[in-house]
Amino acid sequence: MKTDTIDLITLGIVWDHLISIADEILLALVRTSFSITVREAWDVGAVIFDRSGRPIAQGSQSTPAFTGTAFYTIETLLKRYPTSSLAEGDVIITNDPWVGTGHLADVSVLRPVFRNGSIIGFVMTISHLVDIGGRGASVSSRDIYEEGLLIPPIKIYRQGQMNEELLNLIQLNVRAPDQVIGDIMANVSGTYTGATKLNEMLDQHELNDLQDIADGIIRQSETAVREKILAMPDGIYNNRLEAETRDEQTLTLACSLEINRDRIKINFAGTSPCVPYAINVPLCYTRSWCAYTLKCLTTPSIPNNLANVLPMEVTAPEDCILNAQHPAATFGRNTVGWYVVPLLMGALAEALPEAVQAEPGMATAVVFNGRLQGGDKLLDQYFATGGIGAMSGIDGRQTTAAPTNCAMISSEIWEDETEVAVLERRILPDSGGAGQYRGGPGQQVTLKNNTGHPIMLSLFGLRTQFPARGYAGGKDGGLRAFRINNEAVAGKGTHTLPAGGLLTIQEAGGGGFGDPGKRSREKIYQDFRNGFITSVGAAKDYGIEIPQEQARDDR
Amino acid sequence: MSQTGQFHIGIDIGGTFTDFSLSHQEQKRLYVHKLPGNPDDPLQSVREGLDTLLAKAGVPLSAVSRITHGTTLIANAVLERKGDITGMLCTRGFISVLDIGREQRYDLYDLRIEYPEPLVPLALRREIDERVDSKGNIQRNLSEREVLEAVQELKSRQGINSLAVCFINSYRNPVHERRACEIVSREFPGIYVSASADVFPSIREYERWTTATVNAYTQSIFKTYLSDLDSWLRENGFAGTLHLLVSDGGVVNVNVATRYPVRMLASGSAAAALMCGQIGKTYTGSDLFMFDMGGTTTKLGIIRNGKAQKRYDTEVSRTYRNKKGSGLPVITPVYDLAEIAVGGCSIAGIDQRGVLKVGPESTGVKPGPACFGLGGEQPTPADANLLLGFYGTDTFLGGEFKSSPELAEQVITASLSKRLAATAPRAAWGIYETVNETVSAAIKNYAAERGIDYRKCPLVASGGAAPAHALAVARKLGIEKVIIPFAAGVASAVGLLAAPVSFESLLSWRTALNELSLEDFSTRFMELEYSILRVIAHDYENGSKPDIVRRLDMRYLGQGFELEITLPSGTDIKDLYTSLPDLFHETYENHFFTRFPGRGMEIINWKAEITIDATMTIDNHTFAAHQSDAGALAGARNVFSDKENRYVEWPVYNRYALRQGDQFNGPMLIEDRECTTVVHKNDSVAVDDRLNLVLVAAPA
Repeated sequence: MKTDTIDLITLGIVWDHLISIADEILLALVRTSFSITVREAWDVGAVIFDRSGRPIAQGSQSTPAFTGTAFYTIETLLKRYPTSSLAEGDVIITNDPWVGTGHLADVSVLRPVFRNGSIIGFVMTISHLVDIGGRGASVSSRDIYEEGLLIPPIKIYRQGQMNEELLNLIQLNVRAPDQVIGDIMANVSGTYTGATKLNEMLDQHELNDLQDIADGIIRQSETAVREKILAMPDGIYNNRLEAETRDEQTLTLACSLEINRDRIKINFAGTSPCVPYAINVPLCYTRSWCAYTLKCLTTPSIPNNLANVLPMEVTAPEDCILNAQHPAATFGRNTVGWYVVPLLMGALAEALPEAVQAEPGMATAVVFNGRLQGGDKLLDQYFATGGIGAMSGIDGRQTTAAPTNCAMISSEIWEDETEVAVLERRILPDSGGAGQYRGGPGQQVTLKNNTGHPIMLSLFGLRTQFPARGYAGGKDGGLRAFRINNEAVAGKGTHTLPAGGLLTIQEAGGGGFGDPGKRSREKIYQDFRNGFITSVGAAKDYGIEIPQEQARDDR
Repeated sequence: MSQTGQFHIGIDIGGTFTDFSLSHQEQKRLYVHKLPGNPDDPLQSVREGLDTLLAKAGVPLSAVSRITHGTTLIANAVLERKGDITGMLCTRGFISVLDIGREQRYDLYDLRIEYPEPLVPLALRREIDERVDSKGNIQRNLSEREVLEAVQELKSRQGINSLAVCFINSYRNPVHERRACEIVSREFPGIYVSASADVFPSIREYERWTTATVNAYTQSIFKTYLSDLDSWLRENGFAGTLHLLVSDGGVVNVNVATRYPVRMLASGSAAAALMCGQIGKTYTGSDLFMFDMGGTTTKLGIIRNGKAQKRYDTEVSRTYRNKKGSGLPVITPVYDLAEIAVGGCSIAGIDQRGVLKVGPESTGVKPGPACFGLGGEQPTPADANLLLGFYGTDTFLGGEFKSSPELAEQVITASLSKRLAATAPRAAWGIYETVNETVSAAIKNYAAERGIDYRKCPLVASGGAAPAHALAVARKLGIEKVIIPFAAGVASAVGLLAAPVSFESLLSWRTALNELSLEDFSTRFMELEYSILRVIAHDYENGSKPDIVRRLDMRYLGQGFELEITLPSGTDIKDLYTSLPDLFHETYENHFFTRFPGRGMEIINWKAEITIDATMTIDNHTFAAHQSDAGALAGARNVFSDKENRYVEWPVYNRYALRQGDQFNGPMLIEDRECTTVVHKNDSVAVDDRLNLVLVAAPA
């Protein structure tokens, strides 16, 4: 064992190497997966831990929610399976919402990494499964029991031997067993990739274990994070915002954020209670978005690890919707949980005007459940994104995921997979909030059911009543809307898309930043030429008439 | 005079300079030349340089059998947005594909990331009411009238010269794209047309269409340049073949190059990698790290077993901190290299943080670094290196470029000294160190993305500027060994002489393995190989022997990503067919540590790469410039020492006169016509049997 601490150059190299391994794990997971959700939309995460379970590196393109929850998932898993009870070749799996990522649809898979007979670290991968039984992907479930199969932390591999009983149990409880089992195995092999590469890395750098590196990573990062927080003005900052539910009821989300020297305390008192359908958020998921926001505001350029959450304390009243307790239904927990980011940003909008981003239009996931022409099961998730919010000095990007980071699904891939044709995907002009810096516009997507069978759609739409708010005088973004065969339908819930039917999604725009009157004429013209605003929108939002020579032929 | 076939020429147009090489096959001698490029008329510098080179070697152009040409013209046109006015036809409903992009943030936490503007703005895109479904069936016929009207309107109102035709699912069935191209070519013969599935028929419309727009955007400027070059060469007696270097190190003829300029996007980097590959054949003990710095850019990457690694996706014009994901995605065969905008002529300035920054803007040749006295008013690394004494006043390009330290000092004082509160030499030292830091950060970044421990890879420095910086960069990275090839300043041009005629093509033909007959299997490959042979027919007929590499992109049924399987060469097609399932299972397990024995498999893409056995090689060549009798010590120069804050005298050596086995200790400067190697105190130099300098960096 090396006793002296590692030099900074070696630390830098090994740190980068760890991240590249985490990226490799993620890539292996995506490349070996069967569901479109994982392989196209990257609804995945990969985290490397040291032997005491401290997260030290993550795959760069991990969904932020997953890496945020993974930090805490491992704590519970190691309580259930102390290090002494783990052998080489063991792999633990769980989808318990309160242990894992907040809903049953994601599996977290953990493998201890052995070197010369002892554990030197852990690798965890997380991915979204297309089905987990129960009512399927739906916000209609009233409690967790309706939502499907809960897998408590359990060994899916024991010393390299597959737990066939468990796999059999899962297989018999899900709608698309080939995809689900295939994706679970992709996680198992992803963690194996990680374990192998970690050992290769240690060989290469002639290290016995990860501890000096882990200490160095966390020390360096923690210093930087705390310095940033120290530079923020101390105080207590409050914010509230409203979000729609599936019925008439409106949710209130409230936070109080206290900055005290180099510490941040976040409390969600004042937030509405849980609801009897599946949009409740376990605290692990809430906390993960708090960590994400903190990261964006403090040290975005430092790779994520435990240090980011050390200065942070998150509390929420029990049974408020951001701290749902068992057996609340949680499938669509993201539709409420994503609001944590704009809620916290909004609280700091006046204290840190240069750092915050106006509210995002967010994204939509639609689950398609039906049959293909040939009779095979169709079970896939479609993603579409709204615009992101503007911030001081920069317009919000159109059609980009935020705060989640799921990628789009190529129309060609989607059609090839689902027999649901994409008829259009267009930028939706005037949907980005006006401002000195404009919010990003959303898009309009129309899909046609060519399977010859009706499809059951589960919608998880946000911002159908409450738009993305602008900051510092910037205007709100446009709302999200859904239509089936040109009839408006509710944004959260289950609907039938008949054979040959059309589903149209209008994605919400992001909020603007700053007084629209301060936006330059040239930028307004450019927005017009780019199709981001119409001449009507220019007149209404900016009081500017688009001259004839700027007009383009829309055909 | 010598007979045809004995002389081969390499021409490399970089961002700033144009480099030349000539190999005399019989005598095994190499001649090189370098001159400043002419960005407004690249051909002018090619003509001028060829004249000089041929005169040096005493060879007429008529005796040259082959010219291999590498160029950064394509990448520069995209980077500087100097391509053609380009229109786009796309399937109705998909006009926003280029704006919507991947809908993902390439950095999770940085809220200020930026994205590149599409090459074809919305006003130049038109929707066409056609539709092919995902199985390749035509759902809505293409209307000839609609295509004509759209293009007519784009031409008359928007003035397009080039057009990208981008239809949904064309990777599966390109019939509509082909038809639209035929119509446009027939009715508008002046408009260049690129069809997305013809450029590279991969699934995923955003990436394929963006690639097609890059191709279309650069087609006419490249075609104009190439036909001018070709006619000039012919008029002057050239009767051989003109080849262009593509991004994965092969070469193609003028027709292919004109049709697929996007294939030459990374031509400049590939040329440098070929030279590095030559070094790699000698230094077989470890991987090498290529560090090629010219006037405008630095190219870097790993060379394994004498070859750069291959991939099929790249990015052009990254817009945000050179971050992965911040550029336009391009799907095409490329070497896995990285490029950053830092070179000898990059502009040094003060950035928003109030500290020194070098690049990405460059003075180019015009006006060039201030020290050249051609009107440059901004400081560059070339000015800094001159003022520091690393560069001589009359050595660069044999004294054709007199450099003035006074001008360098003036410009550095005026733009940097005050703001940095430093003397001119200290500010110059700052520029030198900033370049070293920027390059080493880029190397770290490249290595980190790939999990490479660069410390074990010798750094091979080439290009006009790298030899001055290589040891300092190596020291920062903890790399011990640096290799500087003979004629390092024109290494890319020399590398071109080693490029084989090679072309890779792809066929997207998805088929389940259990539905694939032996006959289909061999027919697919035969068709593909035939289409490649037609592309490189001219070279094939020369009696050379083709070497075929076959690859398949395969996956388990139900997966979305393919794994590339390289089929063993020299195996009978029937045996290949039989062993395919095992080969896939094995390769899959090697990559992902698992296999799915029960699952079906499918082939997505068929790839064949045909290389014509390069009859020429520059192995065992000697450089004509080598002066085995001259004295190596050429003089002395005062060099600024940052530690002592004063100038101290360093010896200057003539690179041409160094002999195998020579050994020296730094500090010293080693000069040739195209570059200067800076050897710091305590670093050491040895000259190997190929006259490469092998430097050892003293620890930091």
